[in-house]
Formats: sequence, C-alpha cells, structure tokens
Amino acid sequence: MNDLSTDQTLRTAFAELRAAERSRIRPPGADAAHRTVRRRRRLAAASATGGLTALVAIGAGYLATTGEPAPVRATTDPASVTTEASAAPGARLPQELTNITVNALGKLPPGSRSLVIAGDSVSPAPRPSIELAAKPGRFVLRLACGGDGTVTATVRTGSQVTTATARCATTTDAVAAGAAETPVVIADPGTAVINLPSTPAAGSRVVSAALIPR
Amino acid sequence: MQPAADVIDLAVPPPPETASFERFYAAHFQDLTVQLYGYLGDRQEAQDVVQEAFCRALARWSKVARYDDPVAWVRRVAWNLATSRWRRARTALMFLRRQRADSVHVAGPEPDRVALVAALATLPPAQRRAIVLHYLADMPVAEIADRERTAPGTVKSWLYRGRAALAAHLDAGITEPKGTPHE
Repeated sequence: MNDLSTDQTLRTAFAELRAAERSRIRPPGADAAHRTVRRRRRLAAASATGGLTALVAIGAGYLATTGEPAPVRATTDPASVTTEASAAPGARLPQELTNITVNALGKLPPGSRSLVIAGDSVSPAPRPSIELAAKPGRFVLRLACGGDGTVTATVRTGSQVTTATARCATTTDAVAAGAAETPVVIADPGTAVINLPSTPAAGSRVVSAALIPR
Repeated sequence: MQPAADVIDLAVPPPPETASFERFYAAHFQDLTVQLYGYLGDRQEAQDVVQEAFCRALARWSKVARYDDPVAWVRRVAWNLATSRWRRARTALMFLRRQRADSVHVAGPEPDRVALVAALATLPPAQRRAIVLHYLADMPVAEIADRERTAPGTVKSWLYRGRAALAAHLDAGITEPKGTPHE
C-alpha cells in the first residue's frame, strides 16, 4: 500500500472510529463539572483558613445538629484536590487577607456557623450561592469583606430575604468596622442561602460570613 | 410562588457565560474524548482527562471563553494531563474503578477499531500525537506543527512514518487468522 492509499484508508478507518466512539461515550455532564469546581473552591477555601476558622460548614443540604464545629465536607478524592491546587494557582486564597477577614468576624459564640468565600469563588457558576446551616432559631448574619469596595450579600432563609452590605478593607480593624449585620430567622430545615453578586472585582476579595445565635 | 425553605433560589441570575459553557461542553466533549482515546487507548481514562480539562476550563471560564479557540485550550490541557503527574496519581483509583466497570456489561468495540487503537498504541508518542491530531482532530499539518512547536516537515515525517507503521500493523492483523475459517 502506498502512502496515498494508506492515507485514504486511515481517513476512513478513523472516521468510523470517531463515529462509533462518539456514540459510546456518555459525558459526565457540565453539571458534574460545575459540582467539581464548586467543591474544589470550597475545599480550597476551607483548607486555606486552616485552624483559624472555628466553624466552617459548606455545602448544600448540610444541617448542623450540634453546637460543635462543623466538619468540612471532603467528598473529593485527595489526589485531585492536591493537584488541582497546584495546577490552578488562581484558585488559591490570599492567605493574609483570609486571616484578616476571619479575625474581623470576631470571637464567635457556640452554635455559630461561619464560612469563608474567597477569590473568584464569589462568582461561581451556575449558582453563586452558599448555604450556611444551623439549628433553627434567631441569628445575626455577620458579613466581613477583605479587599476593595463593598460587597452586598442577599440572604434568604425560607421566605425571608434580607441584604447586608459590608465595606471591604485590608486591615482587621477596618474590616471589622465595615462588617455588616442583619437579623435572620432560620426555620426548619435550617438553612440560610447567601448570594453574592458576580462582579469583575469579586475575584480579588475574600468574604467571610457567620451566623451567630441571638 | 414562594420558594421552599430548603431550595436554593438565586437572587442573581447565572452569568451569561454559564450557558455558553454548557453549550461548549456539549459540543466538544465527545470529540475530544475520542481524540484522547486514540492517544491513550483507554476510553475511561480519556473521558477522565477530558472531564478534568473541562473542569479547569470552567474554573477560569470567563477568561477561557474569550480565547480565539477555547477548544484548543481544553485539548491542550487534556493532552498535558494525559501525560502528567495527575494521570499517574490517579492510576490506582482508575484501576479500581475499571474493576467495577468491567463487571458491568458495555459491549466492546468492533475488532477493526480495537485493532486500530491497538496499532496506534505501538507508535512512538510524537507519531501517535500527529496521527491522532491529523485524523481524529482534523488538524492540518501546519497547525500540528505550531502546537508541537516544530517544523511542518517534521510533522509530515511523523505522519508518514506513523501511516507506514499503522499500515504494517493493520495489514498484519488482516492477514492473521481471526478464528473464522475462510471460505
């Protein structure tokens, strides 16, 4: 067989391979990609805050049942998390700003729930929302922002919707001074959904939120 | 309508790029997986690296979406992953999964396609990449050369040698008895 006829033969063979294989492949789906990215961002945020965040509860459906610190959901295999972190430096947190923002929330009493939202995870697709779970009851939602500008969070608890606007800053005292608070009532099943707007500046901010029992 | 207390209800609409990612994913996932399958010889592994590449694209989608050719970006990431530490680190995990997958049913590809993929696996990596990019990704020689950072003549040489090797393997496969008596 000369090169030209081999070329034609291979074109046919590869076209058949492509057609046959396409029908055999079942994509995990774009939703699975979204879930993976969200999970990695949450884990990156949680691991970056380390021991500083006393109570971190991230994830839809997580319902706190005790006053103890909430565990971080770790459903992603560690290998992929580690390599993703090393392969995507953009996903890493500015540690200093994270520490400042967490410290600015102040000492949290037992029963509080808090989380840190960092970097461009403020604008994840398709759901730029985070759930904070806590026992049903009356709480104050405290919002702190490290970086520039202001950030307005929309908080939904059941049918109640409130907003809180925090002024961002780069020192602990200034972030604490700019922190916003809003009362929220959590009813059974006890979840507050916090939405943060997607803006170009969001990627450079670190936002912390805490549900503090009243 | 009042949302249920435990339902996530977005106060802000999803950014427009979200929809474009969905379309992008749907349009290209299978083609890219076939290309990686041709290179790796393992469909599940190909699917894993392509999914991972799409995840990485999604993580920086606002930037990737503005590239002239986002598919090329995802393809490059997938190919890099296919030969990277990430892939090696997942070997054990995939082995375990394959054990499960093997117990479940899917009909195997036809013998001709198995032979083609097996023949591809015998080629040196550069020739295999060139063949796959040319015949499965429909990339012209110049584009492959640009991607591989080499001269077009080198790519032509890879393709020529790759074709010759494939032809030899496939011819050998055809002339070998396959267990079915010839009439």
